Amino acid sequence: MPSALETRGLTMTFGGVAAVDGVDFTLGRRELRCLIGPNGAGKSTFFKCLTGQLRPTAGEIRIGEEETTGWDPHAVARLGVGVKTQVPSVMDGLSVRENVWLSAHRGHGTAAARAATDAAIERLALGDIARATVGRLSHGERQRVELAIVVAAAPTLILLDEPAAGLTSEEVGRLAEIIGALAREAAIVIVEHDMQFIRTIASVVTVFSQGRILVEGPVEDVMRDRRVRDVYLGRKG
Amino acid sequence: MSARPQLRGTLLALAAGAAVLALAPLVAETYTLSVLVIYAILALSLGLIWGFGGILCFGQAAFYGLGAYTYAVAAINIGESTLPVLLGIAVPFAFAFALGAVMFYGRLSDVYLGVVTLVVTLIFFRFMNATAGPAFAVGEARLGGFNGIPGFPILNVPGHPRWEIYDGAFYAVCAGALLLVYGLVRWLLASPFGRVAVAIRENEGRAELMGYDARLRKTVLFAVGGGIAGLAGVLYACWAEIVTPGLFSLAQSAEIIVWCIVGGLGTLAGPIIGAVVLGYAKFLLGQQSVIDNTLILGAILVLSVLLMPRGIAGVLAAAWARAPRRARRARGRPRAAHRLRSPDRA
Repeated sequence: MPSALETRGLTMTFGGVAAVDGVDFTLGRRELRCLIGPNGAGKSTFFKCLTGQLRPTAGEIRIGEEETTGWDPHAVARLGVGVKTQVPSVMDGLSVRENVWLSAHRGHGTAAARAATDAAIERLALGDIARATVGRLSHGERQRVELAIVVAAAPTLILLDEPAAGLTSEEVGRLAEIIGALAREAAIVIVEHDMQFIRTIASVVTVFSQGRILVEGPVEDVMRDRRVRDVYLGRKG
Repeated sequence: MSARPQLRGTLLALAAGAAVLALAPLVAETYTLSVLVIYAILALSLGLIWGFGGILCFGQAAFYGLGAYTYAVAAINIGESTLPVLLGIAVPFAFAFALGAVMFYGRLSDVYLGVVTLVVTLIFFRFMNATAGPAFAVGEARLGGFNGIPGFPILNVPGHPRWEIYDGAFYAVCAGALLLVYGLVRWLLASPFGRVAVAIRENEGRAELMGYDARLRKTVLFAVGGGIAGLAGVLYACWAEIVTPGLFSLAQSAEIIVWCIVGGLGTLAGPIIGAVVLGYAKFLLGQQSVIDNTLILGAILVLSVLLMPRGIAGVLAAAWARAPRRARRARGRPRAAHRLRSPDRA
């Protein structure tokens, strides 16, 4: 059985700088993985290569059984890849419901879109604000809308870039529950800084540093790793 | 939003539009009204792609002129008007599709898109001006350079070349065409295609991450706008009974943009109202020679942008929303003004 996601020697250079440098990464089916690392470690660039927003300089990407290196974002999305970007990417001028419907329509077709929309709105507890215009909502609500967009398409691989950023502790708690439930349906990769949050969803962690994978393992082991502390605190090993 | 209020809103709008169009001949000549209705169709074409697709096309006149020229050339060669009318829509549609594909698949940004469409219009303008002489002919039809093509057969009852449609009947055809186009555009915008088009306008990156191919969808929408502009061109050709390179002029393109801005972008009623109001103002101003026409239209544009940022349609919708609830209920359903503009809001 193929893995949900696999990269081999994935490299992305800007000018002479390698933001992602020969990354070999494998994610199993229904696996939940967190990516951590200091700012500029290449996590978001790595994500953008996976989604097709950036075309990698070298290496290859496999999603499920397809090799998707160099594909356009819409083609990658059609394989069942749901993406939450670092800054919430939503349609500000449209209602919450319309945002979610647009995603459900792509994933399920016109006939089943309404039911999928209702389900996603219910799941993210957006019922009260379903008719509101997204541009007028708070940051936390917009984060939830974007998650509902991801969920509504019933993806098999979910990429979440800092889903907990700017949320209250209560919201983070709810988010952890939702992610826990999603992990039973899909493979998930989460880029996150919030260590408390990562401990809550307790998973395998991959640490990025300077475009490479520094260490990979269960969260407690990684936290004790001296090299990880060094890169986070900026010490030279 | 469910389909039923959408349908009801569309039917209401169509009924109101039909009533206005039927009563209009009481206050103005059908000859003048016909061209105003043609302008309205033209404005609708840009209102669709700009207001809902977010594609600012500086060269909508290119498709308008292309439709008019295609009709004129085909009518001279064929005689009976049915096929020329269809060609007058199909050729600009196909041309807009090809041009759109180049621009959208080339990932041109908004500014360059404006420049490219502007230049295409200028090329048409220069080329048509340079087509004097017998060398420039399509079949029987001479393109005629600066003087254009006069004396082609005008619209006739399908299948009966001798039953020409003019005056009141021609106005009825134009009015019917406007209602038909309006209804089709409303339907298009309420369909999944239209909703995704608005989503792409709102956030192209997100639409692509959802799995929608923004390039293809923008190309199709652009082509539909081109086809509608072509229809307006066909009707204009039949109205004026001559086509000249002036159809491709920069002034013509700019005028369409001004109609949309003054009328209210992001609505369908707005561009129609803008075209009719400004078109009629231009007609009245053309009858005097004290002040320069374009100066006044320019002043109207500046004032309307400053005083009515959402255009005439925006002002009307706001007035409607402020009207006492009882009055609204008496007139039908509450908040109909909002629904008129949905799924869009801006």
